[in-house]
Amino acid sequence: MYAGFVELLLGDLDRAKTLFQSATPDWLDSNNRDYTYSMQYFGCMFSWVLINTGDEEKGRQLLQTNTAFLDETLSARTEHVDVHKPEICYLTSGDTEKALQSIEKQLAHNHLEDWDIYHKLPMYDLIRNLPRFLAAVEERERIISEQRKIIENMNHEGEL
Amino acid sequence: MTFFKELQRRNVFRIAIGYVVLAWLLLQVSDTLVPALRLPDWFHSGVAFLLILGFPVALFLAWAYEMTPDGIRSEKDIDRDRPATPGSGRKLDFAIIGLLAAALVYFVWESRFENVDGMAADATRSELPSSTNTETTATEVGLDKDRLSIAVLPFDNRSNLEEDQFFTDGIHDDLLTTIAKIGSMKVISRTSVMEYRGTVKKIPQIAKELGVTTILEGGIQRSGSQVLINVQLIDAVSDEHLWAEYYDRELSAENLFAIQSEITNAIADALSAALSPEEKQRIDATATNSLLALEAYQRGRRLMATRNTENMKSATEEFNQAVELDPRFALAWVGVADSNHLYSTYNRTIGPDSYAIVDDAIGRALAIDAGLGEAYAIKGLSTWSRKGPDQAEAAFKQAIALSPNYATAWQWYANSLALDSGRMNESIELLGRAAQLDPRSSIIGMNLGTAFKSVGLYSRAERQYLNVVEQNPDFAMANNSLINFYLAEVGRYDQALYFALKARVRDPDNLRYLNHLVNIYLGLGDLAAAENIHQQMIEVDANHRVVNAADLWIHLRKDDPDRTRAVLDRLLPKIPDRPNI
Repeated sequence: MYAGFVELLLGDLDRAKTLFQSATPDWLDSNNRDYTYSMQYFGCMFSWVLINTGDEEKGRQLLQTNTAFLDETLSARTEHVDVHKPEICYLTSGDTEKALQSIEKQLAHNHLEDWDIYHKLPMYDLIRNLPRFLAAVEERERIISEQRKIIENMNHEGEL
Repeated sequence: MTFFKELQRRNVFRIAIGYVVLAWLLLQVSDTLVPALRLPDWFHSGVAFLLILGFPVALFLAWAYEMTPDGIRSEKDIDRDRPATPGSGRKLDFAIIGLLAAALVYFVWESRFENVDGMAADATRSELPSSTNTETTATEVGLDKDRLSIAVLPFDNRSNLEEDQFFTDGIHDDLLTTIAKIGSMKVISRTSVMEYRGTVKKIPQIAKELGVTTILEGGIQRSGSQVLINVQLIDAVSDEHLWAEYYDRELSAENLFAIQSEITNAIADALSAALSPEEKQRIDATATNSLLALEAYQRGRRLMATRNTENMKSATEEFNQAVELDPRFALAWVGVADSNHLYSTYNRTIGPDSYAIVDDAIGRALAIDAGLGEAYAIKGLSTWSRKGPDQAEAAFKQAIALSPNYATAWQWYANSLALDSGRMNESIELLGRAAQLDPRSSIIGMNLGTAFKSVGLYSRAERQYLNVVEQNPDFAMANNSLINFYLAEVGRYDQALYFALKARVRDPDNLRYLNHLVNIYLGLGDLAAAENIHQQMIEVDANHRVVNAADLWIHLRKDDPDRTRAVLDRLLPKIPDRPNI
């Protein structure tokens, strides 16, 4: 799935499609959803690929399954659904408001890992230039900068 | 009148003391409410912030106003030559005494009830999700006073030779395995009793810490071709001997297993523990007739428990040696399966080749002894990692039914359910059972932390992980969990870096830790540092999948599509069938 993700980042949708499909042949098996519960964002990336390569119906079906799992099942179990980057699903369905809320929630919850890489995905084009998105990215960078200073101090004190 | 006396007259000091005590109490209430009501983490910080802000305000109000029989009056309206209203100071004194008493009661309660049972108690604390059946959890996980229970303390090595310590530990380990076959009795696992080697703690104290009602202790002396073993069973409540025995036999595997069987039967008799005919048969069985195979097996177990990559590789060799020496040694085949599965999982090389070895070893173990719970446990783990939790469940249940005291079976079953998120609460309960059997196990403690993390109980998860690191600083895997936690869940790259560097010191060639360092430096935007670590990874194993994956992430960060694709093409054939597991 990571390979499909990388091909999507590189812009080769056909290869991304093949890789996602081969990684988990039973994507559309609803019984399989819980098993890959922490990988919903890959499911939504695959949805985006399917929708943009002529498999719109299958893509929408997969998107709906993944989004329902995030919004209904997973959110009943933890308030930290945003750690799974659900905005990838919301952006695939075109819901920019929910996507921005998800990113802002990640910021509030300090789920800051790999923003730079994930935000290169094509579905983020919908919000890439919006002030709220830019503000969130800037705030994340400010938090990381603070941590760089802490690390410098730890280095200075010989703690690392 | 001096300024100090004026402060005293206006009750500023009393207000300050009262405020500090009240603020502390409010913080304890907030700390309890946040998890209980599933309030966001910032709530507690917000309360602390408001209380800090309120402190100067309270002092100012104390300075500016006074309680009088006519109500609260501004200082400027009060005659300064008249003494301050005596009643108001006394009322404040009573209020402070009341608050201090409340704080004392809380402090005593917390220290008495919150820290009794280590990790086992951790699992029962109040932060379980609202949907968890906490009543059941507490009953099953907490001190189970009605169930017979025993801890077998490490035996003293009474030989003059230091190398006989290993022999002594091996006998202790085997005896534990034999006693654990008494299904009606809770038997504390080896990892949890080993820290009591040479302890000066009293028996009742040890029993309290481990949650047991009886203790077995003893010593072993190997003398030429003879072995002398003495053991005594002690009632942990009264500290009185229930049974004692002295064995002097010729040293052979057969005799060692016979002694273990006699001790186990004597314990069952002394404690009136129910023994089914099947259990009795299993207790009396001889696992191997080869002393050398037994010793290789014991070395393998010891090495595997560290979860250190190199040690686990050595463990596979020890178990291979054990089954070569005695191909009918079923538990050693389980060791082959366990060590190969764990080594390839930790080293991220798990795939068809390692599964073939694991399956073959499980098949051989069960062909020799179809009732071996330990074999079903590894069968469950192997099935889970390939096919998911549903297909693995039957094997795990079988393992627990056959070997209810095998903490690892509970632990792996719990971990499998953790992936199936709908059964997260069950998973936490099962881990509690595992922790009850092995309260000092680092791996079980760590799994509990991960379970808490999965349901969003981050402060609980962090405390659990840190507990494990504190209890066993050499257990590098605990650092790994903390690193993951700090990176993905709480966005603390500085903390992640601190623990990743510590982990690397303990296990320098572990590609998993080096990969963490690459990710941390990439997250911090320090590409040069990431490339430097990647170079070290290449020196360990240039062809390893994780090394190529790290290369991939570096080139993605560099916006170098051609090189990224080249790395991906090199990496793809190395990705196992189901890379999401």
